[in-house]
Amino acid sequence: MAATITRTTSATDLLRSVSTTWDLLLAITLRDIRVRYQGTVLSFIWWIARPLTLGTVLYFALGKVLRIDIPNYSVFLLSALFPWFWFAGSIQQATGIFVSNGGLLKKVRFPKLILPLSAVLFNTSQFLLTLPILIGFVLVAGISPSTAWILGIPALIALQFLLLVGLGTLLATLNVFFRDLGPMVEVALLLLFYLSAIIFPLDLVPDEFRPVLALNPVAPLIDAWRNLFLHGEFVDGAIWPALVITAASLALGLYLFNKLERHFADAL
Amino acid sequence: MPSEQRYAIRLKDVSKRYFLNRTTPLHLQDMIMKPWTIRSRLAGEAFWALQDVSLDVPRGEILGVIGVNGSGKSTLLRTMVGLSPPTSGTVSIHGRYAALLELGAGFHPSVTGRENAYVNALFMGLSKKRARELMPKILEFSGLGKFIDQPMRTYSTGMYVRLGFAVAVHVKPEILVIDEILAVGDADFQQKCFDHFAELKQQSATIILVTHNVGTLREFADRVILMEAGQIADDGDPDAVIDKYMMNRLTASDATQRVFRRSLEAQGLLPEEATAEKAAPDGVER
Repeated sequence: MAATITRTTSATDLLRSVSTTWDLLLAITLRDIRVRYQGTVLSFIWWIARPLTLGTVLYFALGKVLRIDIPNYSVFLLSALFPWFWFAGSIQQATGIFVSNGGLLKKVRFPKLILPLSAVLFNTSQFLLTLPILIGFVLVAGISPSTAWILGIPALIALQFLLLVGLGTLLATLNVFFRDLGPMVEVALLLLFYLSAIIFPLDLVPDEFRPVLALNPVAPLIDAWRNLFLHGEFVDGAIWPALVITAASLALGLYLFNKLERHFADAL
Repeated sequence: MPSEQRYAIRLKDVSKRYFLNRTTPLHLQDMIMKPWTIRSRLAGEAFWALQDVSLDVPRGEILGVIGVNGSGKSTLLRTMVGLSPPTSGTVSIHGRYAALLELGAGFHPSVTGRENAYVNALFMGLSKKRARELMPKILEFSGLGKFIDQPMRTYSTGMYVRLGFAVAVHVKPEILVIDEILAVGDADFQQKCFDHFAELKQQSATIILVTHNVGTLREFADRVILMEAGQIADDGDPDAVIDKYMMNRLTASDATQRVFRRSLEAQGLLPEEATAEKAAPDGVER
């Protein structure tokens, strides 16, 4: 049985649709930011409250009570926690984005890809706005700014953004047909938090467990952020697992999305 | 193909199959606990919401769609505009469309009417610039006055429709698809909408209208199709199609009542003054 849908569009229409899609993406992202913090007096404070609170608790518990011996432990924690919250928030929001917008997807025709994109963009904007706080903290802690930051920060932002777009699109698409993914992702993020060497350095991990951590794309990424802020070191070769997973998740995510997109309306 | 362009939408042998009792979002629990049910769950029970529907809608036509609930009207609309793919057959769509398939699809309840109207216009494919230009017209048409700056969760159903409709007609769609929502607006607003239809029609826009308000269709539609069990049962002049549809429904219900009464009488269960409804429970049981 053959089933086809054809629609006529001219070249100018196609060109126009790229720019209008971008307009729409920005408009809904800005709207969601406004909605999230509407009526909250301290909106900006809430953006940084989570990493700062967790950072303080961990610093006290591990640094002061258990007396873990890591120099500059507060910077060590925060330089990992800020990117981690960006990662975890994006993944969590993107995974459920098609399902929570089911009504819209069934009734309005628009480029569906903007939904996971917007979820990632929303969390990225929060990260970008809180980044000066992190940098300020690093400077106050007595670490002198490094020239590696100039290229290192944009490079890591770009890499993490692409990783999030790939993973977010993949998870959001699969979640339409396999709803267990939502709770599974929550558990996985919890696990990933400890597997990503956020509260301890990668080189403290015994050698036999090292390969397990290396497979996790977030660990080298977090490590790269930390090296950048703590030691002023530009991204090195150890980042490769993150690059591989980013490329793979982008390819697989977009492929599956393209293949399954037309069935969304019937599965939601 | 130039000859194709005479039509806004063409459906050829379109069928749409849904599965009843099918758990499409798979649940891990069932897959582990009852693996033997996976096959039947995936298979489900086939239900054809559309069967071999062929339909050509010429440019500039106002087409009405009628039929009882569950006859496939909404599936037809969704398939027509490419929102859900047909199981078999071909759908071709020529032109930009705006669809109002549900009240406030795309509206965010916590955001003001003004911002929702703007985002909605972008959803319908307008550029930022064009949407900004159109905003004053849209807001005026909606007639919402000072409520336009209130969050939409405070709006009534009628206000939702007004805003949704105001956006849809102003994005200058070449094809406008409306699924039974105009009935919510008041008489004045409905009149305003129909005046606008006439205007859109002059610009050779195609309008497809699902409604139970047959009076509207008699007045405005160029053509009406009747859906019955997923098929086009009748197609043609609005008055002819509607008259036949109403007649059939009347006679069907009359006939059913007559048969029912007669069977009750035959069993001696119908008291002199009682209505058929009152006697029903007893009569059925014995």
